[in-house]
Amino acid sequence: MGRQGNSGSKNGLAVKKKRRRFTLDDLELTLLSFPTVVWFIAFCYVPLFGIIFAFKNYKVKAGKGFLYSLFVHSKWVGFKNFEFLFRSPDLANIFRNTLAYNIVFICIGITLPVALAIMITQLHSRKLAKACQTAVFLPHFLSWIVVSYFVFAFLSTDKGLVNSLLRRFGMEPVLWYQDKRPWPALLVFINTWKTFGYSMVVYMATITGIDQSLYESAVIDGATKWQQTKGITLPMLRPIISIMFIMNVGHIFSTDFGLFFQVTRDSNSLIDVTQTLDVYVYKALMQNNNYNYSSAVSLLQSGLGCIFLIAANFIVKRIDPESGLF
Amino acid sequence: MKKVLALALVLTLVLSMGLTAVKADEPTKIIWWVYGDAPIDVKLVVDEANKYSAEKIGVIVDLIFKNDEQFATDMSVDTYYDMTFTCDWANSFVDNALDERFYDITDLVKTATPDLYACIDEKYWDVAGSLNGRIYAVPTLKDMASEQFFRFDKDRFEAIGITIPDKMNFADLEPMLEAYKQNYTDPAYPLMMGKNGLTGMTNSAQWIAGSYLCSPYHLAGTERENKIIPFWEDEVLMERYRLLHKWYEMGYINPDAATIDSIGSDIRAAIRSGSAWRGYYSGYSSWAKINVEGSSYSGPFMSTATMRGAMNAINAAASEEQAIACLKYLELLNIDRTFRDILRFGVPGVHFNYVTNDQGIQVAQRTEQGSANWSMDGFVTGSVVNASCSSDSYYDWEEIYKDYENAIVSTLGAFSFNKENVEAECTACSAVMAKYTSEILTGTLDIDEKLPTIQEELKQAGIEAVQQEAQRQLDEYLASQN
Repeated sequence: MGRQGNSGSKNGLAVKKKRRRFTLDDLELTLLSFPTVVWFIAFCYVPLFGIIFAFKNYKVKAGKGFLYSLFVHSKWVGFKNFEFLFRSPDLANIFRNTLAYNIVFICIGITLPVALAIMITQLHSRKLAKACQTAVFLPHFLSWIVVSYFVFAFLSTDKGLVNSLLRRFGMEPVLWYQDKRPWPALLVFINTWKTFGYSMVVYMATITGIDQSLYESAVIDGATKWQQTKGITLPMLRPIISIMFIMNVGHIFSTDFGLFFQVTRDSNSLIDVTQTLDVYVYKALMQNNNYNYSSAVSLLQSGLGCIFLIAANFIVKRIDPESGLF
Repeated sequence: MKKVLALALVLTLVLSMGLTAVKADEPTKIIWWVYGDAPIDVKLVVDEANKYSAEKIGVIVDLIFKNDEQFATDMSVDTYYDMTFTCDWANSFVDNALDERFYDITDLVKTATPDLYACIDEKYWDVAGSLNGRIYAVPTLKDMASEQFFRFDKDRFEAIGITIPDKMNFADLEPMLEAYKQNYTDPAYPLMMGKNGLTGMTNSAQWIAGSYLCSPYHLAGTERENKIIPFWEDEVLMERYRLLHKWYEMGYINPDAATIDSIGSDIRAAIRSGSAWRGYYSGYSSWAKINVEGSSYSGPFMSTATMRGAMNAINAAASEEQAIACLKYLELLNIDRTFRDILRFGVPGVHFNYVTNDQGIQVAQRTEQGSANWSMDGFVTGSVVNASCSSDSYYDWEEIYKDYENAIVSTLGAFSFNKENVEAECTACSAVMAKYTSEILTGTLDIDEKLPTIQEELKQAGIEAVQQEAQRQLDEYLASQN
């Protein structure tokens, strides 16, 4: 909505130059974009000054207020706030986990929802399609805390569902939260289960919007379902797939804290496969609320993410000039 | 027009003078941040307390409850307060005092409120409330030492012929665990614990940085006193870690200990651990709803960590009048039992009534409304020792304080580590320890097997720099004391 509103008012401005008049249409579109513009300014642009936290040693001067303390009282320290990150003996492991999980998530995030969206739109029974859609969409609304309890109900050592089953069949129960081997697969599965419903709906909406006459002519020409998918649906989906891909690449250095910390119950035995950048920062800083350090890491994540996003956009545009984000 | 304006101005002047004149009689209001979640009847109790204090000293209070995170954010954006709760474990006294965010009351407390200064022992002013020789906070008198107890399910142990000793060693637990395991199947593990391990177990050392650098109390008087060492050089702690692992392997500790948060009171645990003072067992019993008998296995110890359990400090940005008002308020709380009881137990007749206990001493008995709507830890609104005792737990604080003469006192005095120069190293070390702490504390990992890895990682994180800096600061402090 926001994007449409913005571009709409841009067109409006161009028209205005020609006619030298602000039409009712322009007013409507401007008003439409207004809340989004305010939101972006208030929550994205104004807080940007907080970046200087990353380069300062923030100290409060009692009675002088926050802004004075930050801008005048606190000393500049250069890149010192980044130092703690690079002192970690696990740095390589942390970056490996962060990147590897995100790459897997991005790959699955593109293929699985697209495939399922196509399959569901092919379903003959509308009711079944709706039911499927709702079922896979539901986990999206659960918070990670709730999900972590679901997982615990399955994997708890003493009373977990899985261990009860294992005992039932005379097998040794497994200390799930202390055995790191199954966790990479488990985390990928849980993340996919929770998130793919949302992107699937995005793709389904696009598929519904494809001009039906294209399919009709294809059917007349004797195209099979597979040929229709390959020749019509996928090419029509390409721009939205590109956009989703590029946006996900922008977050490649950030991970969902809920997934890696809450769902794994902060179990130290699993840390080799669960420690991502966000988890490390939380664990390092939970004893002292050091805003400088956390700002430094956020800046690093966003900065690197931004570089990757621009690179991904560049590559996508080289492959297909019409699919880029900008 | 001019006349009207002039008249209006004169009128305003007279009126405002009149208003300030009235204001001078009004009591001074102080904003006081205290620890915890606000109980339901705050307004009721504070109104009652304000009526009393306004009459006595002309000061009233705006009592605001804050939790850990609220303290952290509100302090860092410099929200105004007059007086705040501060201690060793929340709203850090050392950090705030080092940054000069607290009012230096060294002289003011002696001149403005001599009675307050006199009623708190000098050692508490010098060790707890001071930093670098200046006083920044008023200590709250509660338990000032830390003693570690095992808490036994008394009835079940007596039923199998085991009497709980008054004092014991950590290792003495083993035969008791064995006996319990042989006789009872529910719970299957006699020493159940969550990821934080046995509460208070590591309090046998004074922790200087995170859970990796310490100064064990038992080294006082030896040639290793005043040395800051990594945890693996403390034999007492290491022996406990080894025993825990042994017990874990023997099936006395629940296998998922390192991954669960805690063992709630709904589980009838055979043995728990706790940090308290001699005679506190009634508190344990009423919490667990079974008969609990305590046995001391370590302590009592005294250091900045135990004495800074609760304090009140004044905002450095407060005016001198406000600061004096705060001190007067604390003075009244410390010397006037009736007033102290209002903030401790609520409105007399509504939240509690005075009754006489078996020993013939007047104690406070909470009403239903008192238990439900005005209940909090004793230290939150002032000292514990000068409030009346509650009818369900009577302590002779004079005796307890007399016992402190025999406590093992840290040789580090009021030394506080300023981490500023090695903050990156400290943070990296904390992150390393965070990976292993719960496994060590629950006996899940074999400390001897894992120690080389931990040492290597801590070294890479910079533990040596932290240790050197801490030792340098300590040596400087000790030299300045002589």
